[in-house]
Amino acid sequence: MNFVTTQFALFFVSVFLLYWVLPRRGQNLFLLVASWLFYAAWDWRFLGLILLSTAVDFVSGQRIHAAGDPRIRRVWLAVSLVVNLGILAYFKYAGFFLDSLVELAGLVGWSLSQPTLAIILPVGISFYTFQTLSYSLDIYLRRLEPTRSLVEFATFVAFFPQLVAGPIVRAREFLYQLQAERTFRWDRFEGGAVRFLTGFFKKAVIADNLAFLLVDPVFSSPGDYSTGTLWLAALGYAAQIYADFSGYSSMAIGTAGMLGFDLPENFRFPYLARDFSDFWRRWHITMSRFFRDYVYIPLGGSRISPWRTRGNLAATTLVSGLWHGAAWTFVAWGGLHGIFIMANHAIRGDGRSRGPVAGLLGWAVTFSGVLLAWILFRAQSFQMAATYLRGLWGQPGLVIVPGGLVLFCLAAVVVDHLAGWVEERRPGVLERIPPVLRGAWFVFLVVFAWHAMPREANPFIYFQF
Amino acid sequence: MAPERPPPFRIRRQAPTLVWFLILWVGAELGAAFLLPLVVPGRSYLERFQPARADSSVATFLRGEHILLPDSSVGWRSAPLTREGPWQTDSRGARATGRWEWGDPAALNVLFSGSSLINGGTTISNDETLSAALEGPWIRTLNFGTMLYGVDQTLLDYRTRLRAFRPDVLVVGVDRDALASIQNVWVPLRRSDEVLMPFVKPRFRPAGDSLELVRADPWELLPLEGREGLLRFIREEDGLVARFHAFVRYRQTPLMALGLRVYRGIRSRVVLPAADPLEELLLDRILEELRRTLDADGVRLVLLATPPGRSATGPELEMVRSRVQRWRGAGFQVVDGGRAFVDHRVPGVELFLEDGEHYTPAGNQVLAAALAEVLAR
Repeated sequence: MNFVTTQFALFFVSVFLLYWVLPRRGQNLFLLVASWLFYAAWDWRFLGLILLSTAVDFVSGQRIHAAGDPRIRRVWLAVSLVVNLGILAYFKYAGFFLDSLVELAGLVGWSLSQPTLAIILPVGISFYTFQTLSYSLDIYLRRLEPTRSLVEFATFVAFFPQLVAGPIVRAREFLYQLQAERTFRWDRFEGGAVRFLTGFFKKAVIADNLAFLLVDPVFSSPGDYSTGTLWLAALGYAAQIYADFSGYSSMAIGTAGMLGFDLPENFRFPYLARDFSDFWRRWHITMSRFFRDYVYIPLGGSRISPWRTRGNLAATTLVSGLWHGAAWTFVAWGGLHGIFIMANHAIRGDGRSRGPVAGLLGWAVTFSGVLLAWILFRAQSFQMAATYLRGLWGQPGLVIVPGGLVLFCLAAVVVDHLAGWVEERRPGVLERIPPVLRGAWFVFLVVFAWHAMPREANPFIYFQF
Repeated sequence: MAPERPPPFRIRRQAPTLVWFLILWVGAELGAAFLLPLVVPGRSYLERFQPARADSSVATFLRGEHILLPDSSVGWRSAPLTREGPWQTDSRGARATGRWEWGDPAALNVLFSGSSLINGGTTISNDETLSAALEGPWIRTLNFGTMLYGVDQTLLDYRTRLRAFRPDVLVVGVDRDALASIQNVWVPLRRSDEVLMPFVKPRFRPAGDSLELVRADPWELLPLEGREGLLRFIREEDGLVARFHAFVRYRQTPLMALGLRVYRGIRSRVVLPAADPLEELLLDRILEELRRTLDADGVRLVLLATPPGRSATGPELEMVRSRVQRWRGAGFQVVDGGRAFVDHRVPGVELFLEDGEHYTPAGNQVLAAALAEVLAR
């Protein structure tokens, strides 16, 4: 069930009304059932995977906590890791690794018969397996006590606002909310509703129009388009993926907010980043911190020799790239960001700020790097990425003259970041806008979206991860 | 001690943005419905009424590259020697099997006219159409069913073109939306989903006891050539112009649009769509005129009330049934396609294609059998 559909609107209104009239004791169970229904609307068969992941980590968490012997703790952690990563490996990566193996064998002259694997990728698998993993890992690292309520834990895993595309929530920032008393408050509802509306606008108007009118046609055959159009489409994709994913996150945060829950922020104006590390502190924040806390730091982080630190960085970014999709282009995209970050560290040295000019230069370099890396991310193959990148330097071809709607969408992302820039320098300044103006702004968003959104809903980009 | 007062209604204090949002939203909805049409020119709404790709379809149509060709007497007609998937027309623009020569004096020559329900649509082959299913040792057919044709266009098509084929029988498909099609001059008002057919058509108006023809020239009136002219034509001649007014008032903002959709949904299930007896009278008058014209040529007329699609509502089915009875009472030979589908329903055999409107080859066989029965009388 896509957030930008009438089906979801009906589902959410029903859930919302029933949820708030239920007594406290029934709310969590109701949310759990609603979340499972939400997921089953895609494909009920994959509910079994969520149930398996939930059951394994619920038991593992209890056993890790109860065991005094470090070996037993490790065994139960291994159970959690093997099951969750095993599910992920099979459903997401089995075909990819087998294909790669066959290709590699072909390169060295061996002929392997290619097995046919038709594995469907269950929606949201990368997100909920990480959530359940973080629960077991946090208990193992003694950062969290396990919950005794299976309903609470299952609700944490399956909570529908963030089930299929994040934010990736940690148990320690969500379980206590499930245990707390929740009462309806208008201010919370207002915060959630306007957040949902903003996200809806980003997704349904900005991201979808950029995709339909500019990005999809150009990326489908980059060799046919002129240099100017290729640059425009690259900018368009940077804006599209931001609007798409941050829009989804906003809708998830808004939906949860209307139900009385706080979810962590996932985006903080990423294109304001002045260096690549800063970019990853602003882009898909909950994934970045997952890899930082459960991969990079356990490997030694930055408190070891510079060469090992670089190796850790490379490993983390490569894994992060692979997490995004079972293709070598994603791995290369992650690796490219790893190189950017290492170069960043080498140049920045002591890490002190060097004034506005250096800041502006840093922003320009970071944005350019991110923009070029997005081409690799979006391309279907290395060959297509190479065609695209070659075309960026003097290629004649078809020209797309951007229409008013495309320019509006690009401008909207710029204005969004300018607002973020102001907010970062003068926190709370946007909050001081009078309610009547804010209300008028949201009415504009509703009416404009009604006229400008494409009639066919486009799936969210991050659903495929 | 005084009883504790209930807490005040806190929404205004706790959620002022939400309150203003709701107030302004309602204001915007009402403003868009009742004030905006006073200041925004009608052509701006007309431009929004159909998507941009409709314009490119019009251009293709006018260049003669569409599967339909512009025709100043009937609006449009099927292009000759055209192929689109299994759809194929011969040099006459008809769907034909080519198994027999037309004009055999020993055979019954049957022409078909009507909409795509008669010609079968673009997803079945010429050999699977209703006309092909009717062919036999003593029956020859040519199928001139044309996308979105109404009975008024059938009358005009016969007068200007089909007459020359000297048929023995003319089978005319009459669809459940027959009334809308004879009221209509600009197709999007009747079928907004047909974005590739934003064409204009002629229509008949009652004039005393006879009919007056309102001509429509595709080249002069199509949107590309001047929206003001099209707008004037629609306002003056299209019996469905209320749909455009509804679009202007109630489709510009989401709540009004939702309200309109709910209202139409309920209305289509509860209210008889053909509630206007004058318009039904116009339909009958066109059919009478068609019968008179055919009688003069010695051609037999058979009406085929096409089976209403799967989405047909109760009132629509009732309307079709009452029409069949009325026409039979008036001496027309009528095949009730809907009845034939009910009578010949075989478990496991699907009579409708996936779109729920057009018929499968099995469905066409059923209709052909019912037609053959009438022709044999």
